[in-house]
Amino acid sequence: MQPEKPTLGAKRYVYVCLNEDCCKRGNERMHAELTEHCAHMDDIEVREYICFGNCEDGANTVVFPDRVWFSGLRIGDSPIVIGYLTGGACSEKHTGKVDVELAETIWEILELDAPAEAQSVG
Amino acid sequence: MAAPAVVNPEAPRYLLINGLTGTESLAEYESRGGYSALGHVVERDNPRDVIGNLESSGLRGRGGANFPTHTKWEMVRAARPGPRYVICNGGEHEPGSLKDRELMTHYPHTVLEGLLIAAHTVGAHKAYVYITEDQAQALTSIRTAIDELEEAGYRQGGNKRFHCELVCIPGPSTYVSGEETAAINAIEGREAKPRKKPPYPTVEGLFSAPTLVNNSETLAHVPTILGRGAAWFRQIGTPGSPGTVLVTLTNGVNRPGVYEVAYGTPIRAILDNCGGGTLGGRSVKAILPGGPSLPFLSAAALDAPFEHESLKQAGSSVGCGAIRIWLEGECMVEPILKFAEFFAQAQCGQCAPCRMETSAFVLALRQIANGTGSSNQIRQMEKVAAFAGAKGGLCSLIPMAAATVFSGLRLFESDFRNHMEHRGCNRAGAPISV
Repeated sequence: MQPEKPTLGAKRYVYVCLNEDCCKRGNERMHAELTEHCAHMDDIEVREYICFGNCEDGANTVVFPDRVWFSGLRIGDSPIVIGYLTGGACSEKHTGKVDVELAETIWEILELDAPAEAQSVG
Repeated sequence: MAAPAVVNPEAPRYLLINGLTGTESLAEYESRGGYSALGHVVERDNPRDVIGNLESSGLRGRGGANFPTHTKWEMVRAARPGPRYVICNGGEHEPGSLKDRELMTHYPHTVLEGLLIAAHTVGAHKAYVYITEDQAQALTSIRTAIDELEEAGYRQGGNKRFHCELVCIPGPSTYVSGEETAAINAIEGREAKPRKKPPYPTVEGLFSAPTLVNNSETLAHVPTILGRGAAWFRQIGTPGSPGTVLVTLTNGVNRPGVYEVAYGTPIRAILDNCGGGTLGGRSVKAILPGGPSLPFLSAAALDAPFEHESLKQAGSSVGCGAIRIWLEGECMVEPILKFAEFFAQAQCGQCAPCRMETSAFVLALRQIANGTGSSNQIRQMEKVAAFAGAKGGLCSLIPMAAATVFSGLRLFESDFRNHMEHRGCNRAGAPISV
């Protein structure tokens, strides 16, 4: 099931995990490529994240407030995330695979992190 | 609960001899009765009797876990037939603790006699001394002591009637390498990281054999207990925490160092009588009684007896006796951040919840420290700690990392509020002792 996209105009945050395991699987390049691609997009901000706790199934990148969690990413997989950000569908291979309890914890944490203008999808 | 029995401030010290700055040789140790306890143990050859004495003494582990020593020894003694091993864990990794290296550097034979008694009692013929590789002096002292025993005809460490090979193994200086299963992995030549438990080392430890792992200070008490008797040992300390304990004072006092005190000595008395009082005579604000893996106490706990039940009631624990204090006027945010950074660096990477929790603490505390954080960061830490605590890990690092964070938030709330309201610390000039 594809997630509901946030309201047009609401800012979206792409958090890229840069801890050890995710970096070994290419997330430093992911962060660089997403930053470059989204540089001209006012409604998307790419941020670093310190650890999502899903190390075994990394590399991990999440999109908030969309609540989309990309896992199992590898070096060169930035088109998968970019494709979603620019209106494409979620990759079924790389989304919806994370522990539900972990995901809820991370969404709650990011809810406290995002500036007031970030609206959670209802 | 009633306060423990009156502590004898003149309690004899039997671990640290006053004035000894060098390394006690075999001859010096023997001249004060050293190795006579081992001799009696070997001659009587009654392990149950030895364990019974330890039980009567009430000796508990001095590495931080406070586990009854006699129970561990009995578990290994009564384990399935076959080889068994004993490990003296001198891997001292808790920040601020210096007592194990003090013992092993200056009094190696006290530790070795306890180790050999343990080996004989549980039926081991090979015993290891595990020391962090950066403790050069302790390594040298223990190796020299082992050579002395060999040269004196102690038959590879034991005495003339008991053969026990003694091996000194240096371990990595990482924090988790001091955990007992990590030490076992290191001795086996594997990565020094914790194993899944059960099975516990007493059942399946070194080379899959039943293994007794004891802290070096724990072993050091054994010759005195067997030599002078359990009743004598019980006269020192409190009913629940008998004997003496080694404490390390590092910061905030005039005379930092390692001291031997009777269990039950009030923290204030330790700071005054051992540490020479606080720097500048300033009031105490915060106390970490047993290392940064345990909760803070406030100055209200200064008169608490340094022993297990009292500190548990106060909200913390004896731990490894690494007593650290912070003085009035110091902001606690930076020290708590430093401890969080320590644990984030120390986690071994085997457990995702631990890595997540320790990383999240650092991120949130840095935001609070640099003035960009708010109460949201506190709520973030609460959420991640709840998740990680429920998931657990292979060792105790998850609750350890949380201890100083949440006790600090509770006891020193004004410091955190100060950072949030003033976008940083506005107590410039106050010395920070981390």
